[in-house]
Amino acid sequence: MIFVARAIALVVTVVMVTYMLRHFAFALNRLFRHQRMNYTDLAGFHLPSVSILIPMHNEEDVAPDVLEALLEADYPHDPERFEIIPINDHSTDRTGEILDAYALHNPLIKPLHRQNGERGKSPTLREATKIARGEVLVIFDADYVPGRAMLKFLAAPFADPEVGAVMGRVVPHNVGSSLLTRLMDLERAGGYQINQQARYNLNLLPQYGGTAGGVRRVALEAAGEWDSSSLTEDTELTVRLAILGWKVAYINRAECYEEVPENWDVRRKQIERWAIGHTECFHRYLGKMLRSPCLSWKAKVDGVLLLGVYLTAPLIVLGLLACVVLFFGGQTYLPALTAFFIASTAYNCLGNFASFFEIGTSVVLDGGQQRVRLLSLNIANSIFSTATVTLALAKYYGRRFFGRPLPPWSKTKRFRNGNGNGNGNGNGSGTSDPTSRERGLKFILARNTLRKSVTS
Amino acid sequence: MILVLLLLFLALLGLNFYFGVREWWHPKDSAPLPVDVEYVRVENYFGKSFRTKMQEWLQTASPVETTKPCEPPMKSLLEKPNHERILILTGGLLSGDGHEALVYCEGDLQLSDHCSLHREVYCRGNLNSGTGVQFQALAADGEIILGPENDVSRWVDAHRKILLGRGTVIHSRVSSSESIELEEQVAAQSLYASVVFTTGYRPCEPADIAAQMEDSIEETPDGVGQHASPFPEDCSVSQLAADTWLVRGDLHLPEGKRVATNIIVRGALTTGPDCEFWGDVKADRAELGLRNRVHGNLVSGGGIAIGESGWVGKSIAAETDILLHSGVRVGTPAILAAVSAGKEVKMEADVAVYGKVTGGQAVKSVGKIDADCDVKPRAKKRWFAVTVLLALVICQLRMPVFAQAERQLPFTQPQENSSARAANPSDPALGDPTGNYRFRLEAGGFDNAVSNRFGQWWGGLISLSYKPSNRVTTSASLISQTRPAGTEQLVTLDTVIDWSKWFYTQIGVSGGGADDPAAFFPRYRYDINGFFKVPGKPALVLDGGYTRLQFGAPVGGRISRMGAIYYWRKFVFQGNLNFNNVRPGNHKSKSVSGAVQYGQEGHYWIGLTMGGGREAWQTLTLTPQDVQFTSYSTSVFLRKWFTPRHGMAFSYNYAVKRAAYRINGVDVRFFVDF
Repeated sequence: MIFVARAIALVVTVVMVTYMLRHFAFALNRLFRHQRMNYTDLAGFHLPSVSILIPMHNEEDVAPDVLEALLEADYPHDPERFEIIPINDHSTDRTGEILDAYALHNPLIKPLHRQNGERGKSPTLREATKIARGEVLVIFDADYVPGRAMLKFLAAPFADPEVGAVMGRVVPHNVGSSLLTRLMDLERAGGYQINQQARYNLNLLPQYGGTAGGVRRVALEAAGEWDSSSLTEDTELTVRLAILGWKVAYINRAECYEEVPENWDVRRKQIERWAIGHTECFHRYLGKMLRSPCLSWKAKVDGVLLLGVYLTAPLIVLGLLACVVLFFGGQTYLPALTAFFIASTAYNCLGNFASFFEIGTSVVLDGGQQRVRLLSLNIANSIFSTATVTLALAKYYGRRFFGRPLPPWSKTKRFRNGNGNGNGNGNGSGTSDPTSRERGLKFILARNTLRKSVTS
Repeated sequence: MILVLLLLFLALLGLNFYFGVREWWHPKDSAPLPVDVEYVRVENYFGKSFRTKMQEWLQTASPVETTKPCEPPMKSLLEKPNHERILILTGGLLSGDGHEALVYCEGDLQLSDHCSLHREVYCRGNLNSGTGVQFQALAADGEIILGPENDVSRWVDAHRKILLGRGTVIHSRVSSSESIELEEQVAAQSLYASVVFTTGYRPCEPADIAAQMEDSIEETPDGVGQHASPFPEDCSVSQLAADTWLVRGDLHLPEGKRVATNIIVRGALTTGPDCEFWGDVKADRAELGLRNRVHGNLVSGGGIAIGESGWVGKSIAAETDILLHSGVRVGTPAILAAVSAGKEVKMEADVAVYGKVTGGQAVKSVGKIDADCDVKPRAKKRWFAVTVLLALVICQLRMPVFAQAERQLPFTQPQENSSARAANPSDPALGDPTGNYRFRLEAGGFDNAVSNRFGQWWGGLISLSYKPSNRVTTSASLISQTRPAGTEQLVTLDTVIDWSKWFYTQIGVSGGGADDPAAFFPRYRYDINGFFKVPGKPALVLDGGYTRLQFGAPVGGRISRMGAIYYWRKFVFQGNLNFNNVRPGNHKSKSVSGAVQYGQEGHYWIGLTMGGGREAWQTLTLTPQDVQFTSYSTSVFLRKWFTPRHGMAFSYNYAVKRAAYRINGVDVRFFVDF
């Protein structure tokens, strides 16, 4: 028993130290090292033709915002080079009517209505890809609101024929709604400002995130279309492209607002889907990725760490159990434990664990002043995620063991336009600051006045 | 003991969460981050925004009563509510140094030689400047013609054409609604206009190659099909997509080769004359031969060089440098393109880019790109050889020999080393309020462990540097050092003056040591150094100087020195030979010193000094002078900017005074520019 506990503790330590070093390396790279050229200077010159694909299932509360934002984009509104394809995927609310109303007033919007066939993001995208005419397919979720210049910045890297996909940066707009949204804001900052940018700087594997990003059509065709069996089609596509030799570019300046979950239940479901989808990709593509002649050894290591990231949660739980066993098995004693707690707490004050350091660094780079103080509370998010992912992976491995299929893809619930009742059933509760929330939605509200004239 | 530890733990834990909980319950920073920042996507944002603001200020500012009546070209003086002043000009010739007010000119404006304007200028007509004029920023509704050696700290924007005279430096963007012409030795960060060209290009020439290329775009490529590999059989080639070939390893295409598809080369791509690419091209490094034509984009993970009379129809992007040889055209007058380099874009004469040119470090117009300015990656062997050569040839006495690498760089002001200064030899930027900042405050401490029971020698330093103009940099510092025998202070004043483009001097005076032959610091000391740039070889600077030291009577010393500084890319090399004379006894000795540093002002410097000989003086934080001991020493340092204004410098120093003692020392400083 003691031997097993020791072995587990050793494995957990090695894995966690590896991730720790990775997080520190990324944050330090972002702070002090040369930042790679990101093609933003090419934005606006020789733009490729793009098709914007927006899967929508019961999105009447958010659909007008994303369409308005795209119509305001400073991408040339030339029908040969720009089209918006919102996809009404089995909606039972007014989504279809809204899309038709917009299409009536604007020929750039070409809605696709799906009432038959398989439901979900991948089947939807697969069908829309067939009718899209653009060289580049840009995907948005319905709750996203891109900045005016985002499309130009996203399109620019496709000047490089090696770039198969491009990912932009996502910024939560409902930051002030609850503690969770504020913690999610920190997490997103760390994930994009540091993690994605550093991976791009270091020629590793920046991840195409499935929304707020673009894919070169020929690269998608070479990689084999959207896989409807995957819960995380974005991660899956990233790995397939990388294995074939395509690059994924990350553009920090291609910024887009998103809506993050405002309550913990919605967050739990989101994490569960990501954890299972990611881990499924880990099992499907680990071997192929390691054997790929197109990837450098650095990219392969990063790929393993990227795909295996959700496996760290059960490892942490196992490590804690191993610690308990070792403690009661007489392998440690109180002064040592006390010293450990004091040391870890002191360390906490200076920057906490590596991922927290990464988040803190991102907030500083973004010019955040006060919000960085929430960093210590991110431990709540961390514990919640660890528990949720562990349970999700337990379910996943249980299903694998018994030969059951993966759970179906499920849409993340929306909270815009009033307390999460947009078929989201979220309660939007928490210590939200209505003033700051209004500030964040200012432009969205401004667009709402426009949309009334279209939808009425 | 356990209780104390527990309380400590709880206190730290509470402290850890206190600020977070406070921000959670009383949010102060919960607004979403702004996205879609306008200045990123609008090329002439600054000029446009400044014009709008100026119109607002003119409405709200009130007239200032002056004792003398305004003389032309001055019309009136206004004051904004925040007490900033706006000088209103009717037009004509403006001269003088140190204009502190914003300038608004209603007509055409001429600026005399060496005029200096510390705030932004808005000219409603044409603007024409003489030699050596300094601007903060510049907007004109007409043309802008800047004379030789002008310096603009920020941006330039005109509604009509812009001409940048020889040697002019723009530290930020240049934008024009018509055209931008660059004479030789011009540097800027980015340029945007319908056409950006260097001297020799004639926009209206009938045989303009770009127009020819535009016409030829519709031609069908012959020979090389899309379905068969167009590359030599010994290449490792695969098809990434239907229209994209991937080549692993270096690829050389012979004269006249045509490629119909996109091509990706995971290695170096070199081509002979008259090759033609119909798709996009990507390579780790690309060197295109004469008259090559690329109809798509040209991208490189390293550098790109385009041979004479080449043409690229779409954009060019490179992680490092881009070299455009004479006759190169990028884009077409009808469809603009961008040239973007992570580091430098160098443009020879008769180069035209229809659109935008931008470099992470600079865009430069050069006469003729010499052979060693190619885009090949630096060979490690070369660096190793240089290091070994330095180690063998140069040895020194920890002399503060470092020159300022930024002297060669376009975006920092000329500075000079702190030779013979009583400070850290590893300090490449002492007395250097660099970039756009006028002041630098620097503070730090040092600690040296000295063997043979000499004990710890430690102390601190505070230094303030001030740059009243681009020609003069002056600094004052106070050093305090404590040894087991007591504490002493040294005060230093230092001035660097740029007399001309080719000559500058450094003069320093210091004192404060006790009137005692055994004092740590001299009673007084002065240094005079001169620096000459070799004509035709601006990267090579020859220097010579003289130092006089006087300790408590009768101990004193004289040092004459000669040496050279050489700039190569981000490296700075320096070597000096010192002739030392110590009194009483009239002891004479020679010593040599050498140094190499790498980096860039505003980012980081890393360096190494080495030396040896019989020294007449030492860094004063270490030892006083003596020519009796054969010594050698070395020092490594790192100076790092954490933000554009703040940074730290670290150094480790090691010196051996044979038969006397050995020193291990560290020096840490914090600096801030403002």
